[in-house]
Amino acid sequence: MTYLYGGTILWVDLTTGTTSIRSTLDYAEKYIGGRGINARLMYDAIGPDTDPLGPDNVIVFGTGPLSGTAFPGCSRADVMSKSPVTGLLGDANIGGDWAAELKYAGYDHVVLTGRAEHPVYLRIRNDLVELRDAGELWGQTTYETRRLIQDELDDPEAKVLSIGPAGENLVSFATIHGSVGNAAARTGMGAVLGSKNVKALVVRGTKGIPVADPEAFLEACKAAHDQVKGADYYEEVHTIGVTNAEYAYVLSGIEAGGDGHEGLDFDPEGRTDYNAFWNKHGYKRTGCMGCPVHCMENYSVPGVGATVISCELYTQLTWEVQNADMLLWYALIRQCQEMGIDNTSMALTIQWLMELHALGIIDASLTDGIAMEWGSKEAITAIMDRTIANEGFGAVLAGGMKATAEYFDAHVPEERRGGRSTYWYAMQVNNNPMYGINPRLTSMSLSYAIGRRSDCIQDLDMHQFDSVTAPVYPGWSEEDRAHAVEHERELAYELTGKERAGDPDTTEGKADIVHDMGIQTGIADMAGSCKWHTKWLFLYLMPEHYAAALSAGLGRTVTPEDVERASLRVRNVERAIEVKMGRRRENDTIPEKEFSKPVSRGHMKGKHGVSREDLERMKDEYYTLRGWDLRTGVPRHQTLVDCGLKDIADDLAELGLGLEPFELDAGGADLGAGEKETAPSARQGRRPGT
Amino acid sequence: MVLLLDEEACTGCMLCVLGCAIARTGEADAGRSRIRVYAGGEEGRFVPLTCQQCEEAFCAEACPTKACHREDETGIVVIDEERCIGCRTCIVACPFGAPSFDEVAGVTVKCDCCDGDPQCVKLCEPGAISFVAVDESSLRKRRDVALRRLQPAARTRAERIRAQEARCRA
Repeated sequence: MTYLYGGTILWVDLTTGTTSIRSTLDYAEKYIGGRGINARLMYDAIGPDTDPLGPDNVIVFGTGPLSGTAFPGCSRADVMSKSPVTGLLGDANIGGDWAAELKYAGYDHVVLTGRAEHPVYLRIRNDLVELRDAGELWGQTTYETRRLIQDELDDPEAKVLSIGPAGENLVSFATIHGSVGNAAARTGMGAVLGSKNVKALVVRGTKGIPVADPEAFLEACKAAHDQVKGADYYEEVHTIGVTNAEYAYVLSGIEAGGDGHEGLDFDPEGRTDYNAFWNKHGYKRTGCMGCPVHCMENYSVPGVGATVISCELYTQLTWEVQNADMLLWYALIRQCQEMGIDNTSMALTIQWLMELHALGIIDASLTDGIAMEWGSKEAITAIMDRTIANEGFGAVLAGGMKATAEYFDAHVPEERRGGRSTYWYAMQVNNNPMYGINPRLTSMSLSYAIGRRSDCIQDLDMHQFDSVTAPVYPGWSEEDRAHAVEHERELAYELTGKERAGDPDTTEGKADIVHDMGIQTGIADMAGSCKWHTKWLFLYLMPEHYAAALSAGLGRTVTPEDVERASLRVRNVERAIEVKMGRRRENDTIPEKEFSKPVSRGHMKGKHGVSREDLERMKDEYYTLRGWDLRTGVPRHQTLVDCGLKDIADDLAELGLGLEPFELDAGGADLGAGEKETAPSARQGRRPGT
Repeated sequence: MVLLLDEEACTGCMLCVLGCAIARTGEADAGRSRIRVYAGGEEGRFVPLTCQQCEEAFCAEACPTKACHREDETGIVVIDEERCIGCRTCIVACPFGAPSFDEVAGVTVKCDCCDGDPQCVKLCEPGAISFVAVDESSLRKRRDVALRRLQPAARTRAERIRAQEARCRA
């Protein structure tokens, strides 16, 4: 019996309308599931010549062994494809209720290949798999699509992932939207689906997920729930979400921190007070399936409607673009969800335009006559509408920042651009608009640079982050704040064994922490649960908790080391994919203009800043930990072999990659794979294959 | 003792559903759970539903084999799987659709409050499910109303829910 897994991977060839299946167990032991198996499937499916929006691209939806069970945050599906934004591996993760339903139907992964001739939606009901006509649905919002499909199938329990008009219009940063405010938002997965003429994936399953030892499994789940609920940060994130933290990021000057944001005074009346908005319009807190945290807010605003909002969304279409009108913000977020467009990319793109406008580099003649004044409601709404419709100047923006910069550069004389490309002013990594958090802190710059999605959020070093934000944390006493900083320092020291690892103004130990965070979040992504429950957000599920639940559920022993090793293995598979797409050490970087710049406002004003040398030093350390070549950033042949990825190692070797001779890094550490521990903590410094 | 459900507090996390299914069937199978959560209407709204343990239990009255009956000791209506013939009459009789047919077991199942130790309550983080004495069920509701009057500041739903959560935890 296939415990915990749905059991099959479903391939759907959209061009021919045929399907095939394969057992998940072929991959399960090595890659666990979710992001892990997705990465392996992607490695075998795409190449450097794959056109992200062509029929040769594939898109994979993957759940993990814990998806759909009672494990905390067991709601996640991982979506991978070649990204139309970065041209590298695209990856987005979505919660809600879809992943569990897919498993109840008996599948772990769905792979879509080819391109449908006309708009269709994929409908799965247990063993029934069909492509149904979506002609009537084309052009509908994501909310409406769900309702229409449920009506058509006469099944209100059908779970729907769908794209909105932005995905249909091939806006490069379009999203795939699910239920309760969830979206696979980053790296343009919605555009890929749109290019394949697929409007939605609709699932209904009535099978169960067998559990080897139900009693022990439920105990393991409860222990994990207790661990999450017992965590220090739980109470706050559970009652007010991450809004307080977000506000602290803004106050400390490390969020919403482009050059255009030198002052906080765009909102002297405090109109962006999030708590006031919540108290006026909030209905209740909500969240995804299986989650004890419920990090999301459910609102109902008369005249606009209800929606669910989470997390960082608060700072982007407010602070980033200097919009103090919270009702406008709410309407824009709802529009992003309905139209299926990434709020982060949209906000950071608008912020870039406004900054260029403020610097006198562009004027209204280049932007369809829209004056990109800071905070202008007309500018924000008009740009968003046009981008979603892929019309006029919006058609330029829909191509992404790089394409937009090329358009500007062709129309603006060089001296007006300060002798630089307008791309230089864009907050992006590998053409992916960055999160609001600026990279002027050491570990922040490293996680942005090496991040597999070209944003920092996966490997974010929360220790440094909180050391910086704690001193201005709303609602805390001075004592609490001082204590929090001290606590972060201790944790960072515990993890790395390096004295100053928790200090914000050093590069010491940052590579170790970023490396460790990558392992921890990877485990959650593979298991099909939410990475928020790892220590990444201080909710502290450790590899032991995943291993215990997997062991009880699968009926075979899975050790914490097993899951950590799998996480390292998967990261190497992903890196190998990116390397094949052309990513090298020089692509692991942050915007040039952000180097050696202190934080520009807030209580940290004038402090920090990361020099190019700082970043390069941290990259050396990080590559060493990962077993990647220092000169090129390619995983070493031996590293891949040690990870059990001999076929990938040989594949890269055939391309002449990963075979560079060993060399000494700046610190003199020996890079011979597996020869010695490079970090004092066994857990954190464990090398692939050791 | 009865299960008291509060849809205003429910976050739709389905942990009650999954916990129930794993504990009672050994599988994470939402369809076989004795408690269900339905989403609908506006974005983010959920309604949990399970057996209300009616005083005048139509399901028990309708059951031809008396598999569905009230336990004298606990006052809880249960279905005896041995005697159940799977005719689904109780499903038709119940005004709430609380009993459901378990295709795998071939019998109709309903919430029996896990012999006085309901698993769903343990997993329900927001306190949307509580296991309370029958008379307590209305008392709680009244207390909520009273609290709202006494605390003019706690006007919005969000604040009410937060106050309610605090009480549940206390």
